[in-house]
Amino acid sequence: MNEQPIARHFVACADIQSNPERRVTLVDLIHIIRVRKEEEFPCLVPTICFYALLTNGRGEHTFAISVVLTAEAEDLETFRSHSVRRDLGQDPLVLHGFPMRLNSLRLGRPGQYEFRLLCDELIIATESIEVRSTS
Amino acid sequence: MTPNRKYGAIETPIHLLEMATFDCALPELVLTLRMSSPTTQLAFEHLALDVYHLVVALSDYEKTLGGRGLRLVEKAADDTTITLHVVPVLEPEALERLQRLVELLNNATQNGPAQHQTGGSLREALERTASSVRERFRLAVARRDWKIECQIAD
Repeated sequence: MNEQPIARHFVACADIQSNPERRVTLVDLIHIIRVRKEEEFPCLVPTICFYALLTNGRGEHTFAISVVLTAEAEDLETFRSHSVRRDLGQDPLVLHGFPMRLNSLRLGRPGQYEFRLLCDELIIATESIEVRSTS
Repeated sequence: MTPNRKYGAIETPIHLLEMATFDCALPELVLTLRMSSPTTQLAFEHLALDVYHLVVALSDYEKTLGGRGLRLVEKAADDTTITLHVVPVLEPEALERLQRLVELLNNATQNGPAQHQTGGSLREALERTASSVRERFRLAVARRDWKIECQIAD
C-alpha cells in the first residue's frame, strides 16, 4: 500500500551532520542569502542542505527538489532535480528524517526563492529563502 | 547529576533515510549572435525583443524534448555581437536535450530564411505558427539577418 507522507518540517541549513547513532545536527539554519559586496549575480551557492521530517507515509515514493523564483508576475522555475526513490515502510506512525544536499546552486538574480519538496511530482513542503543584493 | 526518578525518560525516535544529493551544475548553451551591421541606439528595443523571442522559442522547443524550458543566466553585448548563456531547468538528460538544440540551431542557420516554407493565406500562416513550436522557432531565427553560433559549455 502506498500513501504520500506529510512533511512536519522542511528546513534549509548550511550542513547536515549525522553520527553513527543516527542522530542529526542541522548546522546554521538559512533564511537569507546575501551576495557579497564585491560579487555580482549570477552567484553560486556551493552547498545548501534541506532536512525534511516526514510521517503518515507508506511504501516507496520518488522525491525531487524544485527551485522557484516567486518574486515575478508568475512563478519562474529555475531548477528541477532528478528524482530519488525512498522506501517509507508500512508503518505510517514512523517519523522519517530525510536529509538532502544541493551542490552548485546558481542564483540568477535577487528575489524570493521557494524550494519545493516534491513527492511523486506533488509539492509536499516549501521553504522560502530571500536572496539579497548588497547594493 | 542524579536522574529524577519521579518522571519517565524520553526518546525522540526518527528513522533516518539515506541522504539525497543533487548536483545543480548543469551544462549551458552559449549562443553568439553576430549582426551583419552595428545596431543603432534607436533599434535597441526592437533587437532586444527579437532576442527575447529567440530565447522563448528555444525554451519552448526544449520543452517538447521533455525538458522544462531554459533560463537566461548571462548576457553580454556590443555593437555587433550578442552573447547569451542559457541553462536548462530540468537536470535529468539536460546535456542530451542541449545537443538536440544545437543540431536544430545549426540546421536552421544552414537552411537560411530564403529556403523556409512560406506562402498560403494569412490564416494558414497563423495556423502554422500557432500550432507548431518548430515553426515559431524557425520564425524567431529568421527574424533578423544574424549569424547564430552555439556551443555547449560545462
